Amino acid sequence: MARNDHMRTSGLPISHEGFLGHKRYRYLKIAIIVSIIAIIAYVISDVKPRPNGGTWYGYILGTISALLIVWLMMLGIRKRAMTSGHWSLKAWTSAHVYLGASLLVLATLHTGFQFGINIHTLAYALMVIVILSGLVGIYYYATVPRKMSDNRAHRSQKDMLDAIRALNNELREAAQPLDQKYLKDVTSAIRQTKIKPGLFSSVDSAQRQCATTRAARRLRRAASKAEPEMRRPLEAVTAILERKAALLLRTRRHIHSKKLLQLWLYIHVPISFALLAALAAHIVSVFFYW
Amino acid sequence: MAIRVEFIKRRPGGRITVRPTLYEKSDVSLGRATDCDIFLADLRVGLYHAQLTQISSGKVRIDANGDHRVRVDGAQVRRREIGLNDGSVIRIGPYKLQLSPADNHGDMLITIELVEEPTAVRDKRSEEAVFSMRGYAPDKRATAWLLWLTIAGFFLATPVALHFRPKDAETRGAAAQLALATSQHWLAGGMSSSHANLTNDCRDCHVEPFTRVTDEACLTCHEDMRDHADPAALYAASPHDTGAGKWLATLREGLNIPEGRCGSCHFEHNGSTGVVPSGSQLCIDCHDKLDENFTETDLVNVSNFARRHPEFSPAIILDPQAEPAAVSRISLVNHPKEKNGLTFPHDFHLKDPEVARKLDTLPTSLRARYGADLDCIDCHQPDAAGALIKPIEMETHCSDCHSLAFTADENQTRLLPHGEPKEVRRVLEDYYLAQATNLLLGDEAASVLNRQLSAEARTRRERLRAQAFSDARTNADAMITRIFSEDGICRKCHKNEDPAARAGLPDLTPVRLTQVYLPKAQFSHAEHMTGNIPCTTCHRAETSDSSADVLMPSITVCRDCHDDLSGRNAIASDCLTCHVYHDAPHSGEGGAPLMQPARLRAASGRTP
Repeated sequence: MARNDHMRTSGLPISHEGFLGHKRYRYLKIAIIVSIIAIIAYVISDVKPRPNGGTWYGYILGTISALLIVWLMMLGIRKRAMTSGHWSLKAWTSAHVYLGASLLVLATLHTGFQFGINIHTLAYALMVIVILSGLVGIYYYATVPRKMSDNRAHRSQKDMLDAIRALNNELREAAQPLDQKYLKDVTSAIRQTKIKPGLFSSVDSAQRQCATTRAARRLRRAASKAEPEMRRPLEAVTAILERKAALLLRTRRHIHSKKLLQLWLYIHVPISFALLAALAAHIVSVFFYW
Repeated sequence: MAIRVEFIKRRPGGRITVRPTLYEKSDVSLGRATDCDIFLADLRVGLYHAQLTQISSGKVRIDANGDHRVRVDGAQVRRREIGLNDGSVIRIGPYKLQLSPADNHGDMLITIELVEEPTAVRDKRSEEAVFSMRGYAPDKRATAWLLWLTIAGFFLATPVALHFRPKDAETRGAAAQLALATSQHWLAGGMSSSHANLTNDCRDCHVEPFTRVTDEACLTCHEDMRDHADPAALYAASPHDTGAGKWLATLREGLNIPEGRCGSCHFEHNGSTGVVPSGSQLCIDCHDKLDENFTETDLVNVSNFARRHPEFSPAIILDPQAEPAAVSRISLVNHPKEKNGLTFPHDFHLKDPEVARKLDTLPTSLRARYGADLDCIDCHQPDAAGALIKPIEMETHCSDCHSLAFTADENQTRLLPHGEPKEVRRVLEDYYLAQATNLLLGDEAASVLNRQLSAEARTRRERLRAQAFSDARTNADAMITRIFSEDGICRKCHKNEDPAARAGLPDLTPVRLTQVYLPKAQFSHAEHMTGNIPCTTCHRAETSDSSADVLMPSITVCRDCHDDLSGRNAIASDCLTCHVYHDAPHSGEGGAPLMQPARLRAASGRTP
């Protein structure tokens, strides 16, 4: 029971240590120490004529930041090759997260707080977008999976679709005795039910606008008014429709969770490639016209 | 007549099962309702969809009920008569119905087959799409490549490629326009206002790629820029690299970046800051321990204005007659006294009532120039820029009161020329000779009778004439002696250090006034004369009774307001508040040589 409680609060079994807390937050500590050192050095290094990426301290921060960005991007290569041990993927991911976040400090100090409409600030802005999207991703990684598995209740994605399909068949059977005027709702519940919510629509609104929900509502109302001999088949169909609506809610929640877990990557990854190009342009331009 | 209905079901392997039903009547109902004769279980079929009626042995009519329709040979119809031998195909929902005559004469056979799956075929791809990000975001990889190529192409490849275009023509072509559009995004910061015209082509300054801006590029425009000092002396005075500095020097050498470039001190692309460096560190690097590095110097070590800056050493004239004019820099600590050949008590001119009385004797037009008393500004007037004070000139600043008029009547005033002793003699001689001539001309009426004059009278006249001219000379000599004498008009202001007489004239020591007391400092009176700060705040003229007094303020006077150490509410002042690095041209022939590129200077510095 105690074990179970622990699982509830952390979302993870005792034996499992997530990448965030890897080695007692080793990389978080490193990232904080590096950031503090960088800030202190920024304050005490009295560079002339003003803090700037082109001073000696600016070059140091810039070199560290650029190398760090290249290394962070190598997670994409690294994660495709499984190894274990000291540089396990978990360790690598932990370092990726915390050192990546520390870049927000290092690169900001590298700018010397000089911004403009140019490739240099573009590179900085892209980097900030990548880091922030990464932080969003971490937030979802930490919060979504537990909700997701609670919602899924040991059902696989295929199970969900099969269950919906089975309910459709049940609907077809049960709706046979129904009068034509009810059939439109039932057929549209079978045929026009869009399982996947839109990109910006919430699960709730997708549920409200769903053909199945609508059909269930109308048929329940119809059943209460129907002739006694029509009431039974209508109630039977309504019961199936309501079961399907409940199943659709779970499925849509599942899809929504998957969306939360993945959508940030569709910003994080392409923008980090854009950042790589901007970084190259930034470095070359600075030294090309030194 | 009877109707035989056969439900056909095709099994895997080509087997066919037939479920026959016989209706002993001439019409059958078709529909989804269980009480229909022919039960068609599909939601696309109406509860009581249609009625089939055999009209004759070879003909059948189909009637759809209500709003329902049936498809006969592809046509949606409500009612249709069909021949049993027509081979027509009737479709109701997913069911295909075919009519034919049965074996028993007059009977009809209806074969029914479910030809469409009641549910759509499972599509694995579309099922996966339900759980994938398809429809939510474009493909990661495609987006990544597109963004990468766009940014690398526009911000990197284009400007680099366009660097190698030929020099732009007067009217910019497409390549130059594109270069301008793309390389503008390389600008890390605004140009300083003095270089704002150089933003059209980066290559104006950045001649070689991956090479720091060279001094040669700067000197194309700044050709008359002067160095700070002799390059050999500069090299000797600069601190020598130790430790990490040595390592950095090696790095710089490796990167082909010489020390002491223009760009070492002047930073561009920082907006308004940086081009003219502020702060004192660059100066202190050498001047803090100048005597250690450069033993030949007579300059005192300086590291800040507030504590470690020597007392001012104004340029002092010690010999007004020296040719060429020479000054000595003497520290105010030593209370220098000037020998400028001038007698001028400031205190008398500023305070004595005699001066006010003298002013009141001036003609109205002149009197209007002055206030009740004489003020500093009456003689010491700022120059056009307001920075320095115009030189004192006798004619402009003294002669209103100290007139050189030696005679005046109602018609005219005769002035002695100032600063030209020989001219003084000529003017006086001319004056007295003219006086004598006029005297003699007064006898003109008698001259008519000249011929008739007796010899004695003529002799007397000759004698008189000789006497007149001789008197004129005597008068001139007497006048000269008087005005040049100890109490004469000249000696009122002129000291005579060397009372020798030359060319028959008592020689006066010329007055030579210092024009710029602190030639190495940039002082602007205009910037300091705000808020009615009187001159006497800094220049103690009221208590000075001799022109030998040096009225330059001490550094402590400056320090009342200026400070470069933190912790005090004072005007932040660094070296460049007063001094310039590149030797100003007005410092004369002792000035530093013209600025050379760093490489050449380094060479001349190392091999003195």
